[in-house]
Amino acid sequence: MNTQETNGVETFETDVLIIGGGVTGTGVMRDLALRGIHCLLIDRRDLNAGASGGNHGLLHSGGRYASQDAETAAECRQEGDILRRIAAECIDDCGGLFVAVEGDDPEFAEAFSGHCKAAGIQCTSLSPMEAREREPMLSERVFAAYAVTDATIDPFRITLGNVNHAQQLTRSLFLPHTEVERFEIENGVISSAWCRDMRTGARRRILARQVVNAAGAWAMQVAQLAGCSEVRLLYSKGTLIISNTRIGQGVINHLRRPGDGDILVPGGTVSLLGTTSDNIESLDDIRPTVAEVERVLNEGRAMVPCLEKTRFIRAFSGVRPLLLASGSGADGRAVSRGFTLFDHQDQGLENFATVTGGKLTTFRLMAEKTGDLVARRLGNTQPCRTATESLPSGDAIRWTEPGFAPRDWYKRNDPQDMILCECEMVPQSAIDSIVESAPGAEQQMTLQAIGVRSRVGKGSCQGSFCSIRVTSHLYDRGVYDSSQGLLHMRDFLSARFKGVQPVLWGEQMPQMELSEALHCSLMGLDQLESQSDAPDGIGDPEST
Amino acid sequence: MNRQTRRYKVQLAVIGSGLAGFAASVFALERGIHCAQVGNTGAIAYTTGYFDLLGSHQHRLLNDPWAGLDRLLSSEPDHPLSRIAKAEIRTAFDRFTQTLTEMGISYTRAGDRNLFALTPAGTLKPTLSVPMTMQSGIAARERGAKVLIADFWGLQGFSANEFVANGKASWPQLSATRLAFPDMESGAQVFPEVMARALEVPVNRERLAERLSAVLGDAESIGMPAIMGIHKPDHVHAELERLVGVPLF
Repeated sequence: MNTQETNGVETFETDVLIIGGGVTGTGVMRDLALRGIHCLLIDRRDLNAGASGGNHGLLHSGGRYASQDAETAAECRQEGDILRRIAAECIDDCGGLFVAVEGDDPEFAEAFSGHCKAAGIQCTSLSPMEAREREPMLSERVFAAYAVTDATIDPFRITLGNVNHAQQLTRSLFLPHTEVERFEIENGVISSAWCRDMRTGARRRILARQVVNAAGAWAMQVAQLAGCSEVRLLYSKGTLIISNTRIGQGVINHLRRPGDGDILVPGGTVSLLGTTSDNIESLDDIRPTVAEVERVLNEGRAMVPCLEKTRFIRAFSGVRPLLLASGSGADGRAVSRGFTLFDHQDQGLENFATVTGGKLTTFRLMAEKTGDLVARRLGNTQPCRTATESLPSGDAIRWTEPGFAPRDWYKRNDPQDMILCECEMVPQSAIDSIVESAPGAEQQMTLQAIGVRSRVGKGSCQGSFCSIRVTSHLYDRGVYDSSQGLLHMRDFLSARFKGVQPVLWGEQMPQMELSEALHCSLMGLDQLESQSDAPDGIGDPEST
Repeated sequence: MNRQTRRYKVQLAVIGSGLAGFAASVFALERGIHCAQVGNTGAIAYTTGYFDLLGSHQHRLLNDPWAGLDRLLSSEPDHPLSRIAKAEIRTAFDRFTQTLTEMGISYTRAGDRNLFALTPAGTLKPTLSVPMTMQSGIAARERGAKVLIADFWGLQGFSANEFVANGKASWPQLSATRLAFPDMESGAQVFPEVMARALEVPVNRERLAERLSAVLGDAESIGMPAIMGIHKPDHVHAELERLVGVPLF
C-alpha cells in the first residue's frame, strides 16, 4: 500500500476500504485478504466499539429462533458448526438449556422440540430435576427443560484474530479513530474517502477501488454520505449486566417468546444477563440506565432466583441495527432474512456495498457474501476460504481470554514480570506484547485500547487499581511523556463508570467509594482539566 | 486458636478508624473522656495524607478556601461545611494537626491560602495542611528548583517518569531516576509498607542515603514515594536528610 503526504493530508491507497471495526467489517477484511486482496479498515473509535462489543457473546444453537424463524435458526446451526472448526480457541462449548418456569406458556414449551427438529437443531428433553442437576441455581419452579448446543464466543478475540490474519496475509491495515466525513463521487464511482482522525483532527484521504460499509448501527449514516437512501435502520438498544462470578455452567435461556432478561450466558469467570430491547432515535450517548437494569434483573430472577443477591459489577448497552425494509439490489436468494447486502447498483454506484443487520453468530456468512460481491467486482476469482481456513492465534491477541494471562504468567515464572491488574492477573509482559504488536499498535495504545485487547479493568475493581499501575507502566515504557497518559486514564475510568453507575448498590458501592478516593483525592484526576487548561500544563491554578 | 473475650470499660466507644473516628477520639481525649476506638484500616491507606478544606468550588480551583466557604454557603447551604463556623473549623484543624505533630508526624499549620501539594502522578492538589515531610517539595516547585525524583525497582504505583512527564511543563528542572532499595535488589515486586519499616532501622537509612547521594548530581532536592518510616516518620525523614545533605520529600 502506498502512503504519501501532500499539503499536510495523508493519503492512503488500497484495494478495498472497509468502514467499521466490528466482527462483520473485520470478517470482510480477513475474507478478502484470504483472496489476496489488500484492505484498509477504519473505525471512528476502535475495534468492537459498537454492537460487536456490546452483546452476550452467545454462539446460538439456533434454538432461540426455532419457533419463529426456521431459516435463521438453521443458519445459526450451520455457522456455529463452522466456527467451532475454524475458531475453536475463541469458543467455550459449554452447552445450553431452555427452561420454562411456572407462569410461562406450556404450549409454547411443549412445541419447542418439534421446532428444533424441523430446523435440524439438536435438542434433548430433560426432567426439571435433571436440569437442576446441571444448573443447581435454576428455580424450583421449572416445569420444562431442553438441552441444546449453545456455546459462547469471544467477539474481541474473533475481531483481533481477523485483523491480525489480514495483516499477515496482505499487509492490510487497521486505522482506529478514523471517521469518514465525505465521499468524492465521479461517474458512479467513489474515487476517494475523506476522513478525519478523531483524536488529532488530522485529515486523511483514502483512495480505494471498492468501499464496504460495515458500520453496524452507523451503516445508515455512512450510506447517506454516499447518497444512498435505501439503507433504513431501526435502532434497537439492548442492555446487559455482568455478575462478579460465573453463575452457571452453560447458557440458560428462558423458554418463552423473546423478552427482557431471558438469557444468562457465562463469559469465562463472569456471567452476562440480558437483554432489553428498546427502539431509540439517536446513536449519541448510548448508556445503560437504572430502569433497564431493574427490568433485566426482575425478569432474570424468574429463571435463576439467586440473581437477586448476586453482585453485579457493570452494565453495558449495544445497539442492534434492524432493517426497516429489505434492499432492492441485493441477491435475495443468497442472502438470508437475518442480514442484507446492498450492492447500491440501482443508486448508480459501481464500487460501494453495505452489509448490515445479522447476528454475531452469522458474521462469517455476512463477510462471505460481501467478500464474494467485492471480489467479483475487482475481477478476483478466488473462492471464499473462511469456512475451512482456521483463524490463527498470535502472541498479542490472546489476552481477552479469561484465565489466559495468569496461566501464561505462571509458566514464565519471571519474578520481575509484575502483575499490573490483580483481579484478572494481567502482568507487564502481556501489556508489553499488546503495546508492541496487537492490531492498532501502529497508533498510540491507550489504556482504553489495552482494555479492548485484554482483561485489564474487567474484574471487580473495574479499573480502580490497574488503571494506575498500567498507566505508570506506560510512562515507564515511554509511551507517554506528557499529561496525556493521565487524561487517557481519566477517559478510561469515565467509560468504565458509565457502566458501573447503574449497578451501584451493595458491595459494589464501597468499591467505587474507594475508587473515587484513589482517582480524585489521591491522583487529582478530577482537577486535571482545570490544570491542563493552562498553557504551561500544571501551571499555577486559576486565581479566584 | 484460643480466642479470649477481652472486656474494656470506657466512657465512649468510637467505631471506625478513619479520619473522622480518629478525630473523634482525639477530641474526646482532650476533654478527658476515656474512650476506645475500634475498626480496621480501610481506604485511609490510599489517601495522600493531606488535609483538605475546600479545594475547588463549581469546577474552579480555590486559592482561598475560607472565601470559598462563603460561596459554598450561598450555593449549597446544606453542605456539611456550610453548617460549621469558620472559626470552629480553624480551631479543629489546629488542634488535630497539633496532636499529630506531638505524635511525631508533624503537619504544617492551616493557613489563609491553599497549598498546591504534589500528587504521586506529578499533578497538583489544592489542600490546606500537609505533612512536614512534603513541605520541601512544595517549596522546591514554587521556586522551580532542580529536583531529582527517585522511584524503585519493583515498586508499583509510583513512577518517577510519570511524575516528571506530568510536572515538567511548569517545572522544567525535574528529572527522574530509578534505584534499587537496599536488600530488595532482585527486581521482583517490593511493597511500600516493608520499605517504610526497613527505613526505621539506621543501617538501612545509611545504605539508601549512599545510593541517593550517588545519583544526586547537582540536584537541590530529592522526591521519593511515601516510604520514609512508619512509626517515626519525622525522625526517619530528618535522619535521611542529614545523611544525604539536601532536603527530601
